[in-house]
Amino acid sequence: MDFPRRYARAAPLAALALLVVLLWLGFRGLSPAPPVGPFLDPVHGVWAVARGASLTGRDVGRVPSLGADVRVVYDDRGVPHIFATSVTDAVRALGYVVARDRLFQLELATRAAAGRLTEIAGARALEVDRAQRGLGLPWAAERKLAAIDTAGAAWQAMKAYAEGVNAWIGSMGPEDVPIEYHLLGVRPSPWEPVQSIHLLNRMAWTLAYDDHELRMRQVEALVGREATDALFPRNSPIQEPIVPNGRREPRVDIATLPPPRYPDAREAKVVSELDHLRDRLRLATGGIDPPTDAIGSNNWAVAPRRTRNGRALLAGDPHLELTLPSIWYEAHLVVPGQLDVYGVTIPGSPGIIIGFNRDVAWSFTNVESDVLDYFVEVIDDPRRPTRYRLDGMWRPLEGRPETYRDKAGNVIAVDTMFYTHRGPLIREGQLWLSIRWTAHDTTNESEALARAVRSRSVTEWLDAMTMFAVPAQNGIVADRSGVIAIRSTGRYPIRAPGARGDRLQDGSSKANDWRGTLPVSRYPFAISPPQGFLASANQQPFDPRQDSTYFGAHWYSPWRAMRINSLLRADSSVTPDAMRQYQTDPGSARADAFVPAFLTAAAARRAAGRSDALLDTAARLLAEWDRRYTKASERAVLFEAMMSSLQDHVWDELARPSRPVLRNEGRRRLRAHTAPPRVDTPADQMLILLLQDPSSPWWDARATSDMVERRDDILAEAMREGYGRTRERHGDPASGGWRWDRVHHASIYHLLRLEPLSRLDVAVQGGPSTLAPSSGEGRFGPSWRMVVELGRDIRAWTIYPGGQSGNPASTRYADRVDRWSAGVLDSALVPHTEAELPANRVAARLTLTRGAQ
Amino acid sequence: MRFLLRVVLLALSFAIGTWILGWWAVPLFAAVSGVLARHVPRQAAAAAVAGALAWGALLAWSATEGSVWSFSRTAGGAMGISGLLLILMTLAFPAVLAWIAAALAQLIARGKPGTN
Repeated sequence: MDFPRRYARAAPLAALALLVVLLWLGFRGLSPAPPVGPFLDPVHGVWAVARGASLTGRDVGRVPSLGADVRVVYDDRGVPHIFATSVTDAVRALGYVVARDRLFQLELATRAAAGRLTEIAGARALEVDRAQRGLGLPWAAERKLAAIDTAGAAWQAMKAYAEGVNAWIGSMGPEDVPIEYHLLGVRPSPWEPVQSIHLLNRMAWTLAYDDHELRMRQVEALVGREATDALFPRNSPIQEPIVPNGRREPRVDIATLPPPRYPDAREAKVVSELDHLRDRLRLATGGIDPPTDAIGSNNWAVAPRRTRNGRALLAGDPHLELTLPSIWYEAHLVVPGQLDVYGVTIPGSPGIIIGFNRDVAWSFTNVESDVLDYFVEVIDDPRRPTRYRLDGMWRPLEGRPETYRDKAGNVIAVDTMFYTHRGPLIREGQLWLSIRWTAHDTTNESEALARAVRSRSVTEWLDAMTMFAVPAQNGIVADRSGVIAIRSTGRYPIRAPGARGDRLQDGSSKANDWRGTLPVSRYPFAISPPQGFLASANQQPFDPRQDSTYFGAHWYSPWRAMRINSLLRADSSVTPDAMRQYQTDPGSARADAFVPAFLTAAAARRAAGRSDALLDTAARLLAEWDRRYTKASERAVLFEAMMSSLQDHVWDELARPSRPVLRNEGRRRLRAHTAPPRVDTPADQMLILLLQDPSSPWWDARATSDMVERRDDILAEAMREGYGRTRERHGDPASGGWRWDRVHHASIYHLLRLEPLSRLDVAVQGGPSTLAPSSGEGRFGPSWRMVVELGRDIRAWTIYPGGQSGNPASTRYADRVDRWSAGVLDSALVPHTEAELPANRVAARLTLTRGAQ
Repeated sequence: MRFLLRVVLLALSFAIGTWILGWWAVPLFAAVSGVLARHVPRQAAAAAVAGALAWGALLAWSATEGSVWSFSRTAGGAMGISGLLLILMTLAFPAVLAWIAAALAQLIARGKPGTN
């Protein structure tokens, strides 16, 4: 084509300009969009991802540091079975296959933990990185790396894992680069051993970080210290402890709640300041607040005498954020005579975390212990801090420059983080707080896990795990000889006499510092108890009447523990399939506790002639419910609406004063349709205490100064409101719109929250506080389900909501979601040798060699 | 016929260039073709068609090893566009680049704008 004469002057210039624009877009792109040229390139760009979706039948990979060739066989569920001649080679191969399937996840998780997201996402991630570095975890990772024994198993494993990951990165073709790199316009970075430490730190942050003290200070500002202590007690009012206390049913420790105090203006300011601080710290999670009734975990083990086959059974069921790809990656490592372990690893961790070997099976739940304290510090100069006050003397602050870089390596910000002898210093307004946290200590969880996976008995496993410190875990374990045990293993601080770990502490005195850590002999522990089973579900581990040692104060209501214990008590011939069914059991101890209270209140109103049509209908519909959160349930939604309304009314004193509050309109009907957010919400079990006290001042609504509400007034109003809201949102009760699987779903988001790469609206059986918990937006829940039978030959069944591949174009990306949603477990293949794998179950083979490809 | 032949040859060179060098081989090779065929009419149009054809062929090759259509919806969705638009962009981008690069190169090689 030629330019027409009449455009002879302008057209070439326009064409040149267009070419420059296209080349600019091609090479640089328009941020945040990636450069267009390499992105659209059909050979090297995003399209290549479609070509890399499938496992090839036979493949060869090169890992130069291998001692000998390693054979990897992928079964038809995409699980790699790694056959190596040394443990180090097996870990190298694990690094290789995990990187092959989950490279972007590896990079994202560890960058997030290291506070280096800006290097792949640019300046938009700056505040998230600042929040993460502000908590001191990257600083702690460096300390741990510096202190690590380079001759120890942990370092050897991290190094071998890094070699495997880097061997994969070095051998990648265009089709192997994950789609996320194309979308972000960046390339994979080499993997360093310290990133495994970052990964474990990230888990510590997920499971052992808590801003409980900040929330308690806010609650205190609103209702006073005495009421705060009562609303958030150190001990669960409902006792169903992990360590059996000899009872066959839960014990409710009745207590009367003191009345709330009215806040003054100065205290309201405290609430607002701490809100800012909490919001800032929460940025490290992307602003997500996990609901306490959907995060946590379950595990339980049954002794042979209570199982049908006479073999010990163990179930693992950790509840975490549901993502695509999943947090877990399933793998099997075999080194003849040394190692034969199957289970799940977290990409980035150089070994199996939850799983089993030929003799022992284990799983974890989070202890929810208090291993982090905030100390209020006095600083010399708030504008240019250099010293802090300790025992009447000024001590120098340690300054640490933090540099943030963009994708191109340019510096985009430099901060200075300050540290006291306790840990990192954070600031909000005039408030300076230092953090003392076990996650900052030089611990070595990798070493513990590396030893635990090779144990031959419960005793060996427990010995290996003594060095596991953070995050503290209720480790349940069973072996082939029929022994079952559970221990809450972690690192628990010994505080100064009188010091309270659940409140802000005075940092100006060294006397308030931690005095050491509890010895293992003091940890909550039970082994082969007379009841024949053990279970944990994040509840308080010890009955305080048996051991009053302080482990924490933020215990989940023991609804899940009550439910699983009740199921296990009722079944003296447990089968693996029963274990599977328990994991998705729709029954709810919470509903069992509250539904009768609602119905009794409605009946009392009716008997007193104070009922109305709305309340009668609400009560009739609720009474129809079997208290099970099945997918077909049409009443669970009503109960949840009533519970939500009940909390709004009862805990109105905890509403943030800076945000809209209930207005006193002098009207007899409460107006709480849009309740303001609370600074914190007491556990449901506190409502159980209140139900015993019909005239407690907590029932009274502050919004109605002209009347005093009592228990049944509020319960009746919650029923009316709950019914009204449910009708408003989901239509007539008979319309079918109230079905649980229509109104509540699991939302499994992609790691970058890209909806087309996510699986949303996944129907689930279960609701708040059921054994398969799901609440809120459904972003948290059962992340891995495992049942193991420990016989002469081990049998196991597993599932997680996702798939082995991180490639959205792969059939293995989300292939397990439907089965997970249906409560199905897959039978795991656990061959001793490569030859034992049935040929029709083999999807692909990979040989890793140190030679050329 | 000669036009078609030029298109095929150019598409082949673009495809090989993209394979070996990367996307920028398209404007580079198109410019070279513009210089070499500075007096050939419709050379820029041939380059444009060849650009789309080359990348279309490479896409088709990708489709033999994976599902390009369903992947286009995933990748397009991740960027907030439809899968079809992503495919069209993939064909249009090399076409426009090749067209302009060839046309400008012809112009410069001839030394006088607007003439054959």
